[in-house]
Amino acid sequence: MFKSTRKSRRRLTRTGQVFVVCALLALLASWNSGINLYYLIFGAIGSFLFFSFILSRRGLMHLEVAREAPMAVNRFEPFGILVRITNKRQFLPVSSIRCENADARGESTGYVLAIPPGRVAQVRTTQQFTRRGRRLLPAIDLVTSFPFGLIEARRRFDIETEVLVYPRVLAARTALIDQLRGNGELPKVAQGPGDEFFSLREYVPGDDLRFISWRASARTGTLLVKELEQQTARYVVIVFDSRLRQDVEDFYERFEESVELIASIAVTLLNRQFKVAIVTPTLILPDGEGTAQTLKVLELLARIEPAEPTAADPFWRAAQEDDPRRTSILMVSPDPAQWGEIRSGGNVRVLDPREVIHA
Amino acid sequence: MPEQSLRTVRISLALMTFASYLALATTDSFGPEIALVPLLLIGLMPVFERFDAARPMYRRVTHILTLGFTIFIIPMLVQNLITGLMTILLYIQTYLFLHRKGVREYRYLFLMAFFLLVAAVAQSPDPAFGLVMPLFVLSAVWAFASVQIYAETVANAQGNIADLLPQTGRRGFLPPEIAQWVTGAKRDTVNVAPMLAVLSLGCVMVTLVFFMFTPRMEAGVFGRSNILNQPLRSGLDEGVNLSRGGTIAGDEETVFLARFPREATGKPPTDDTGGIYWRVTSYNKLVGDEWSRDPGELEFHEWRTRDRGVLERVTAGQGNRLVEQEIFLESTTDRVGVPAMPLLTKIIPPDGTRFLPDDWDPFTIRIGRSSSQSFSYQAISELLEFTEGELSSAPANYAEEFTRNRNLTVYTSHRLSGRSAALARNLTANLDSPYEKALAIEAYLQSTEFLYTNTLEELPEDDPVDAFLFVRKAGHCELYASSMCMLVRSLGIPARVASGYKTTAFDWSEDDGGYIVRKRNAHLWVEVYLIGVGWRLFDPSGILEMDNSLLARLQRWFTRNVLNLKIMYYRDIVGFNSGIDLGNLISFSIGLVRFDVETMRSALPSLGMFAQGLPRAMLILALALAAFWGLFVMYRSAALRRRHAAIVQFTEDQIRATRMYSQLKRRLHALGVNGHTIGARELFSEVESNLPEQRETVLSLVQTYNDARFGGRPLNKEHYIRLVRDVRGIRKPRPAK
Repeated sequence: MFKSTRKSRRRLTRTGQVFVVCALLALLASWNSGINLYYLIFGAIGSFLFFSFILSRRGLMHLEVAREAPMAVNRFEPFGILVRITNKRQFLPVSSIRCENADARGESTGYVLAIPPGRVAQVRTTQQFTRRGRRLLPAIDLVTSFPFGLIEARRRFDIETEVLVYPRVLAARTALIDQLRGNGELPKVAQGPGDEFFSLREYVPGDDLRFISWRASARTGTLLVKELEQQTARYVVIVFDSRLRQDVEDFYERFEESVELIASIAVTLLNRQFKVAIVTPTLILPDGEGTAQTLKVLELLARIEPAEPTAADPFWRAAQEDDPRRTSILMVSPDPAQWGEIRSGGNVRVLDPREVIHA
Repeated sequence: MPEQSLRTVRISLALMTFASYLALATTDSFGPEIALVPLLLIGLMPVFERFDAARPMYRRVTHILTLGFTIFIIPMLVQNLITGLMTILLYIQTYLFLHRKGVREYRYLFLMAFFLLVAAVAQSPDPAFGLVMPLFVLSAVWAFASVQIYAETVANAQGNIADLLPQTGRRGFLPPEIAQWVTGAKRDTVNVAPMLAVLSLGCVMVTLVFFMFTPRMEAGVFGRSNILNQPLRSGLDEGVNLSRGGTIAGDEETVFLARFPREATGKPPTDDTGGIYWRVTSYNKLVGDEWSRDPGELEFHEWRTRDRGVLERVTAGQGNRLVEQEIFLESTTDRVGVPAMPLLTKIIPPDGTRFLPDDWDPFTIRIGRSSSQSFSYQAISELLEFTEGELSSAPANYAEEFTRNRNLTVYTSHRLSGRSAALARNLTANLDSPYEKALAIEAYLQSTEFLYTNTLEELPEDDPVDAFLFVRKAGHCELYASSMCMLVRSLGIPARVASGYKTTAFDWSEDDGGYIVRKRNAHLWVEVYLIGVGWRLFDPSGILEMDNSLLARLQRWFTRNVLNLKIMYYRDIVGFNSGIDLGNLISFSIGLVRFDVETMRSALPSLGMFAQGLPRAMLILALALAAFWGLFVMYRSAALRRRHAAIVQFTEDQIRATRMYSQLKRRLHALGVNGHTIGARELFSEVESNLPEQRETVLSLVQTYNDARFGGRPLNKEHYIRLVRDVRGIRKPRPAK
């Protein structure tokens, strides 16, 4: 994070161009007229250009730049970045420095009026990624046109900072779990035979509002949800058909939407103490629960790419891995033609994303 | 942080602008009063910025003014390029000062200040410029540095300004107290001022280095003509150069306005051509191609200075006709002398100005000290009238007349070639009288053998007269007059050239009642000394056709109006003295108190004179102020009406109810019940307590008021009148006996 590669450039600003033109005109006038006062004018303009030329570059020397960013963020989620600039000089301050991202020239991400010698200045900026996956933060350019705004010097610091961008997670209602399984043991999160009270827990967005215990909630001041029976069968396998489909219009967009959907459902379920597993044509994430599993799911989904069209059908693969404990299989596909299809012997229907209600 | 840097920007801008105007003040074209302009601009800047922010109409008005200025500036540019450019510069600067500014506008203002500095350099400033230049450089350093910081802080004002992390441990080997003084860092704030101070000094030093070590070249490396310099233009210079070539453009810029208050027709007597000569000074020494003055002894006439600086010739007024002139001189940059008709006998300067007679030329009056660039003065000239016989009979014994040989030599020396001298002899071979000889030479030069033109070819510097007489035979008044003067001198007759202005009937302005003399009227003629007569005027020049093109007429119209404005300003504001005399006012007041009619009447004429003498300018100003105030009031009430239109829209019934209630409150107030600060209900309660007998009446009135004002009930006029009668019927009961 502290590596810096020196790439510095200088250019004349518009004001600097005017100064140069005025200097040339003053010089021509002094040569032509022989009037000493014109030489004085030329000298004054020249002094400005001289100091701009010298100080613009020197102003960016003996600086160290460090950047801190989170290791992982969600897509579209703004996150903060700290940039620290250290003045390594012993006597002289540096003045009027602007931070820019190398890929967004002219857009300032921070400004430092001055850094005394040996001191550190810190700039906070925010950024967001619009695409998931492994992203590298762009290099940092320090730019200064101190003192007069005539010459702009730029120095690049290639600081490699990687950020893993998870898919966006939107809380989803889990009632769809009931709809996906025709019969058999249902996860006891829904109303079922017996309706026996088991415990109270805090409300998680997506819970069925019918199970909120209002009396208890009023007592405690927080929303509490009744759990009716012990969760004996709270396994969910999310099967994701990520095979590349050339015939699907806007396949990559739909792929991203599917990834986002899976992330939303998985995280919601995990927050509700479900055990979630994910199966794709090329990957299997064994079931797990809790925060650790959440991170594994998000990391997997952050890196997932469309599989080869010839990869194994994940639905078939999931069927091979079937565990008697599992009670819910969630099938997700980016192919709209598959939405609503009945698979796995009539037991499972491919999820139609339009049916998912986000909380 | 933007506020701090903005403050620095504005202060340095003020200093930079002030320095640029100080540079202008060191030139001949401007006086120290020009330094008031930046003070005015800086003082008005915050006021008008607020105006600009609050009133969209302000910007519309200034845009219209700018459009008008654009039309107005075009003839000025044609008339005088440098003056036009400076006017544009000043307008842009004023416009920017009096509007809201962003970073770009501040940079434009810096550029304007720089251009003003260059304009000052172009006009040969005094050595005081050397003090102004460092001030300019120092203020420019701060200005550019602070505007750069301001631009960055504004761009990052949304919270992306860096914080300094707390210092841990000691950095470097300097103690923190000293280090922070050196770097300007105190705790977590940073001061860039010490850095800029060092930078300012560095810039001054580097400026000097550049100045000393920039390689010089011979001037004129790109050609002698300078596009910023004006082409040859008519007008008086401090010297006369015969050899330069080029086309002299007739300059329509006005020099002075001359009126004749004591002439019955308003016009003075003129010569046969309708021309009048306005003499400024003379030259008696021609060396090469330059005329200059060879100082001699004061010999013929003396001036004496009376009280208030009036100059009067000692021997004057021998019964010849006197002509009084009232002259408004527009610009006193012409240092050679003040114009007046010959022969000048008396000249009365304005207050604050001192005139000095020249030591050797008794008819040249120079300005010793002036309190303003333009002023008005009175001159009385003596018109000498001689018959032809008297002139012809003037003797030629100059050696006896000129007691000091040196003076005669001064006025008779010449460097004509033998050929030119022979020409003079040939032209005057059969003539004895100096007057007739001069006439003959004059007639020769006025003949068709010579062409009067303003398009000149360069003449040889050492022999321009000979070149004119025998080679070119074309030229302007300087060549004509110089040739005649030399030819006359070659005959041993004292002669010199006089410079000034010549007006014709074309220059008479009926509207202004006087001659408007312009730079194109500048002229050179000859004065030949005739014993017993004095210096006699001869003019060998031809006549140049007047430029009557549309552009020239436009220039004349424009300069005439500018002259009138200046006269109005000088007469009605600077020279205003028609105010009320304080002593008369006191007398009038005393007379009024004592009912002393006589005293009042004696003071009254003076007061009446005030009304008569009220200057037009003040009247116009008062009318303008009144019109502006009226417009402002109308606009304000319209704005208030618009603002309240949505909130308050009274019906007629509500207005009547309100009016009736106001009358009730006033009535009750007279009876000791103050209802102005309480509501209707409280008022009724007060009445119940203090005027119980009026309870029913007041209750009815208050209820009617509430219903009509708030309840929307009607209250027609007849009902209103009845209620008002009831209000008037409310009285305090008489105490029981």
